[in-house]
Amino acid sequence: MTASPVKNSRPLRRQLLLSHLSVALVGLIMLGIALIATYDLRAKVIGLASESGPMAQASFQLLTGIRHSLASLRGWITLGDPRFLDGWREAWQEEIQPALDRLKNCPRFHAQDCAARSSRELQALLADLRESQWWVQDIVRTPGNEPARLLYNRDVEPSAANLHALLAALFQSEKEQQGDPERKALLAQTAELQDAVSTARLSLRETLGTGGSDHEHGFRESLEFVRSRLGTLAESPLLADEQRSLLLLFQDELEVFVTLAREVIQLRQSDGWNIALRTMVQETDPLADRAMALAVATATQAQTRLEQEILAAQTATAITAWSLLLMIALMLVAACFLSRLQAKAIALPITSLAEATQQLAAGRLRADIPVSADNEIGELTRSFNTLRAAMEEAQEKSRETNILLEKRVRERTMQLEAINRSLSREIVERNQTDHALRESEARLRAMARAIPDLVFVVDEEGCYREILAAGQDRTAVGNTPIRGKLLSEIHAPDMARFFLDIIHRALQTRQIQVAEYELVTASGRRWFESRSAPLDIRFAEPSPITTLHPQGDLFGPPELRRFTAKSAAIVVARDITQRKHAETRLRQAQKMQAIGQLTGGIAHDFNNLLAIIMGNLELLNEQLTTQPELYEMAQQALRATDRGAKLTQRLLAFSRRQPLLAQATDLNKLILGMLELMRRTLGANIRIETALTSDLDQTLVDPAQFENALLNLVINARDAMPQGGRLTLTTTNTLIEEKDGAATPTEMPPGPYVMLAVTDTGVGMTSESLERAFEPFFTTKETGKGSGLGLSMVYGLVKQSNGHITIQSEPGRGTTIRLYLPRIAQSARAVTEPRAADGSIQGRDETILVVEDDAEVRRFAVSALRGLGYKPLQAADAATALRVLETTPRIALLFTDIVMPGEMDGVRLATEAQRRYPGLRVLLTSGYTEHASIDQAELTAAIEILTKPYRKADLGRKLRILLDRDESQS
Amino acid sequence: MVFGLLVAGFIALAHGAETSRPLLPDAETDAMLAAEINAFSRDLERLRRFMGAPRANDLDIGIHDLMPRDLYFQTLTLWEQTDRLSFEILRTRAKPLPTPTGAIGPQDALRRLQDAHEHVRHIMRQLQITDIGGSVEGDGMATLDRFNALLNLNRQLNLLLERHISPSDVYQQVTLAIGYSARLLARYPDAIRIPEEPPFEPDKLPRDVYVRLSECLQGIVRIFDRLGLAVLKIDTRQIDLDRLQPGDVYLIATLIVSQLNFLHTHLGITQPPPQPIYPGLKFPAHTYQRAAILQAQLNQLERFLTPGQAMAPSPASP
Repeated sequence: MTASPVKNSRPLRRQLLLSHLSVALVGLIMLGIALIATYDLRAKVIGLASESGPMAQASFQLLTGIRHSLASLRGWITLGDPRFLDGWREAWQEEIQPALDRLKNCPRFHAQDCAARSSRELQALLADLRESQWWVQDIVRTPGNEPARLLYNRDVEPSAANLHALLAALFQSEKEQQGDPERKALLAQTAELQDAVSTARLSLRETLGTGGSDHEHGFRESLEFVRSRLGTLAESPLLADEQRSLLLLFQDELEVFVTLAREVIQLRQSDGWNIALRTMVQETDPLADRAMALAVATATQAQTRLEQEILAAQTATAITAWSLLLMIALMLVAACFLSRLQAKAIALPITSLAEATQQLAAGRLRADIPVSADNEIGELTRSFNTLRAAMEEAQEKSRETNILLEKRVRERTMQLEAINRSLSREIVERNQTDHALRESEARLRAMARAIPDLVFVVDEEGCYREILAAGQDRTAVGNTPIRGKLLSEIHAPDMARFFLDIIHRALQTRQIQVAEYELVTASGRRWFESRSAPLDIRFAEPSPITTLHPQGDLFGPPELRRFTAKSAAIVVARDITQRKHAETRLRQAQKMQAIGQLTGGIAHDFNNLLAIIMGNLELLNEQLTTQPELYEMAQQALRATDRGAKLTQRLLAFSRRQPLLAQATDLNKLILGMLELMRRTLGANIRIETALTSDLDQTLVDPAQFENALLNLVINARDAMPQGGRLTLTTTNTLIEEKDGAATPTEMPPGPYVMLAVTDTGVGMTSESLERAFEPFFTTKETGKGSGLGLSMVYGLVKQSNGHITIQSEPGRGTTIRLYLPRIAQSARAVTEPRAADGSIQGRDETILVVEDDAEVRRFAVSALRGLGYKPLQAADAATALRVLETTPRIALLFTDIVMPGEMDGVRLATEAQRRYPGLRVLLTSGYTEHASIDQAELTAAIEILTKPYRKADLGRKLRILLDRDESQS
Repeated sequence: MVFGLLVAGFIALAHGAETSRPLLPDAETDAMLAAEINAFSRDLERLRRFMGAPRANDLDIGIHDLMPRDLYFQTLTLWEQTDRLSFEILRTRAKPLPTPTGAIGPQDALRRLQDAHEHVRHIMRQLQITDIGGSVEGDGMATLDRFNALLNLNRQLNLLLERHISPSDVYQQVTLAIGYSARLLARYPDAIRIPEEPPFEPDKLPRDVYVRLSECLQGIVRIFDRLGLAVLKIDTRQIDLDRLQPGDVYLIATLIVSQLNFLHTHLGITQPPPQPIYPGLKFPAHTYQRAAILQAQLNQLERFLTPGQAMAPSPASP
């Protein structure tokens, strides 16, 4: 069914439009009326608020201000308090003038001629009033305010004074006339005249005050008395010429006085006796009255106007309200009527159309609705019919489409389910991967935290890419963040080049590059060992070169930006400073050990040679006593062997191979015992100071050798202080702990030590000298002044005594050498140096067993013993010696070399022999020993040591000491 | 109040008290005036010698080309001082003289001078000074113009008085001038007739007052010029201010009053200014302070005036 063509005319629309327009018209008319009424009302209210009210208020304020000003002015006149003047000024400035300004600002005040005139008149009156009041306040406190008083003070008083002066002169001249009773009467009359003039003067002054008229009569009486008395006096024949002349002057002045007095009285009695009051009464008050009357009139007028405006406003309000109500009612009626009319015309077709729509929705409508009218509703009906037909057709198509759509949905659903399953699997796998990755990262983080090394990544351009581990010691990198910085920004240029070269080598060879280097860090110079390995990943970063987008965008999308990939290496750097130091110390120790072994070996062999030479020379010497020249030559040879023996002695001391007889020693006693010797050695320019700990523990050391060592140190100190200075000897107990390892020699085991410090204020040593200080034959002294074996001997002695030695020195700041010797807990038995009972060194035929592996030496020993008066037996080794001891019970002393081949050396032999034969004396001899020292405390007291090479006399002395020692001592 | 009568004379002049006087040609009057000044000067010098009073130094206060009214007011001052001298010496006082009405001419000044001269002659006779009217040495008046000659006579008379012209007298004159100015300002509704007094400034000398009053006088000259009225000429640049005495300040104050009085009469203002009264002891600083009010008034007057137009009385003016 097709819709009929729509006509251009739309009756229903016109009907609705007219209906609405009529209602709107009624509303507009009503609104217009309401607006007119409201504006009228508004104008009245504004008038009330802005004109009539303020006018009335201003008028009343003006009245108040005028009254205030008058009251203040009167207060000023009568009381003279300056605060009234302030009040007067306030009245004008804060009340009258603002009120006048407000009045002038009221348009209604100027709108009418009469009001304008009133305004101008009021303004002029107020100006006059203010001026008048100003003059009044100005003259109130001036002397001229009361003309009578002014005249009195200025003219009458001087005149009265003149009168008194004339009378005084007259009285004085009369007083000088003596004796005559008539003259006394004249004198009395003069006095009366004086009194009368004074009375008149006082009376006149009284007339100036309040109630002055009461005193006027008294003044006139006094004046009359003065005149009568003056007449009496003038007629007196007793008056002298001079007196008469005075009286004439008095008469003239009296006339002046009277004239002035009359003028005073006249002024006092006039209205103008007080000019301020007169001005106030005659001028100011009338002006104020007029101004106030005008202000009252203005206020009244404003009040009346105000009431009228209020009444008019009330009327306008009522009219407006009623008009609005009426219009509302009319509009309601018209709207109801028109609405009912239109509803009937529109509602019925629409209702039938609604029913048809419901049927259509329910699918029951199969036929078109008849068109009842040729208006918009008819048109709507036709459209509805067209819609119905189209819906039927669309429903058919929709059913077909639904069937096809359901089929496609089923297919798509199956595909999605398959994809979903695949995605689920991928998610599970990815989660597992993520988990593994997190675990790996955690392990890596823990590892990075755990390792003490520096681990970082540096790219091929030398840029720190990542800091994976900074270690606990940040001294190598400092506190400055280095990530993103170049090697050249962190390190010196040569070091930066060195590092970059390592990185490049690692990247080129793809092999780990190991390097050691020394860096200057905040904590000093540190050694590091780095291992640089190439990374399999490359770092990408945006290139500064941009790519132009095909469409002209300068930057383009991110995927088109150019990136540069940089290869990098991971570097693990380890602080090996301690290891390096340890290596250095080890090398030094090994060097010293090697030198020691070398020198020790040489010294040992040389010692044996010397022993043979010395022994034979001595024997030869004995044979040459009868040949002086040869004897002297033999003596020279002996002295040379002595020097050689001393040299080897020192070398052995350095190489820790000298035989030491360690004893419990109190270093304090030893030092104190040497003080005198040290003073003589040092000379007068060097002062010795000691700081010795009172409770210093004992140490185990060979005291004789230690004295030599200390003396060597003192001599070195002296040579370091050619200009004089101070040598300080300090002893203290010290405990080396594990934590002190960094500050002490590494080979020094922790434990208790006795420390002796020898400090001088000398020239000090350079670092190069320090490194070689203990080397034998190293000396900084001039050639011939030092052997270079002093410190070496000290070093060897201390080391052989299980102690340690340190040197602290800087050029120009002196040197401190510290000797650390092991402490012994208990006070060991001190061994006193045995002395021979007498000077004899000859034997008493005692049997001596000589044990010596070197046949030449043994032969010399046997020969020397025989020469000394002993009966010598001999053995080449320990086993033979034990057998000889076993077979020969009378042996009084075992004289054995310490160093012997075989399992048992001299010391062990002595131990065993004394074990088997208690009381057996033992004399050990050696120029070289493997023993660090021989602790005499472990042996009996019947042991002595004789150092090779020895002289025959030395042997005899030692033997006698041992053999003469009491059994109890043994 | 020393010169209260002078003030009253000013005011009476403004009121226009009636008097009859013969009219003489101006040239003849001027010659007579010069002769009278000389005669007065000689007698005054004789009297000065008799009294042993110091001689006043001539001082040119820089005011010239004066109008007859200015001469008249100087002769009026002269008369007041001779009357005061008469009272101080003879204890007698003359009755106030009638004040001329209308425009003041040289005849009025001559008459007032003759009256003052008669005062002096009377005193001389009473003091039995015989050579009245004779020749006296040191007659320097002839070299000066009339006005300055009268000024110097006034200065000399002041030295003969027991009570000299004081700052209080100047104060009184300035107050009178304020009254005149207030009356003139009453013609303008928006005018502040008597402005606020400025703060008191101590340590002022007569020269300070003179400077301020001369500024006022210059203001008056400008007002007269705007109104097209003839007025005196003032040039104070050559004045030695350090030689100024209160009497000199008084003279310029009276000049101000005379100008304002003339303006008052010229504009037909009938209401007289308030009569100033003796203000008591005043210092130059007080007068200096009060003169500032006058200066503010004159500034207002000058501002209200339209150049080339006479001041039209406003309906509200008295």
